[in-house]
Amino acid sequence: MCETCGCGLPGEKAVIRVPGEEIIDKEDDLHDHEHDHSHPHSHDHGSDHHDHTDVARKIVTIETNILMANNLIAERNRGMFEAKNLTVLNLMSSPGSGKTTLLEKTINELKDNMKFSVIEGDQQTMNDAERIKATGVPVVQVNTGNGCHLDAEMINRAIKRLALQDGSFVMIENVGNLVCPSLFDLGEACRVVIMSVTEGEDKPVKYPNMFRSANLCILNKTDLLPYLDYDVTKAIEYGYQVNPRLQFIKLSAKSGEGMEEWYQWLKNVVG
Amino acid sequence: MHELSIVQNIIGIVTMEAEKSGAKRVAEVHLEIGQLSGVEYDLIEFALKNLSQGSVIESAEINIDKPEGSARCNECGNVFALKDFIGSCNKCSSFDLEIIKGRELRVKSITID
Repeated sequence: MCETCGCGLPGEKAVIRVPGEEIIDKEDDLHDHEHDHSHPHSHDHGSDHHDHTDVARKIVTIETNILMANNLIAERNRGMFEAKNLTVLNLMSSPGSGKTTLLEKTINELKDNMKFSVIEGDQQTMNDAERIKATGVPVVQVNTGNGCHLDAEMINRAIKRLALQDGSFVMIENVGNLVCPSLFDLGEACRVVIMSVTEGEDKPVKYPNMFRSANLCILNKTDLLPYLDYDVTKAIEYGYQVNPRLQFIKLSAKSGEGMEEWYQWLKNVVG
Repeated sequence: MHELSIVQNIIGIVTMEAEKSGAKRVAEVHLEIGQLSGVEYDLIEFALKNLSQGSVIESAEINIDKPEGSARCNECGNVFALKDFIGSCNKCSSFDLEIIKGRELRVKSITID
């Protein structure tokens, strides 16, 4: 939906593109959003005028999860991932934590032995998809426009643009945001939250929803630790406070330090 | 602002249920949004006001139950009130908690004319 004015349904506005191709997702609702916000409408009640006080009010019990629509599609995605033996990871972080660099490095080092596909989520641009394309693996970009998170519907549409090989990893790089993406199940097997040592140690307690729902926390950019006052132990303690089962891996996607542990984690996830 | 998506979903659910019941107008929407659901009440109300125009809930009264959080300690079994995710068990100080209340995100009922 248009996150500014709410027109359209969630997932309708996101634009899904493969690098080097024109916009091909013709089912997309690419309607012009240049309407004013008054949503004027007039409806004719015709001759059907009735006295509201004459009609008994009726309570209809609903008891439905507000996110049911998303959760149902997420479960459909999950079933499809299982059938194709795909391992799908939802990578989330604040902007600039190094998600794309981590993916580039991981893919370049493992692609001879493991199969990868990538779904890139950003509000605008094909920049991240172009970077992943250079590694040679299938990639599709989801541009959410004003949207602050990916949802299950976007993944359902995006996944159809990927030439998926059975048994591959699908890495979903969510929109850089530590708040909104945590509420939306995409059908992933695991959630990975990335935090870099240039951020505050207290990210886990500032954004507990995100860290509580994650399986793994990657502490990135450790090559910069000698130049910073960052307290790694404190950051991990904060992480355990919101999620005692959270696993941590310290690494630098740039220098390569700690990457082996991450690769081992990936191999263990497949089982 | 995931609250906009949340509200869009609320309107979708209510519209579907109202149609099923043959109602053209919804007089009241009863929601349950827990205090640990990760949703800001002010933003929900703001979004409802702005997105409901032209929908079946345009003139509906919105009532929101806001259940407080509570948790069960996985170490000692103690059940206690939890204000936010950062709490620890008030008996044994463990952080290993299971949230048993406060994460509700539900349309409970609607009242139709």
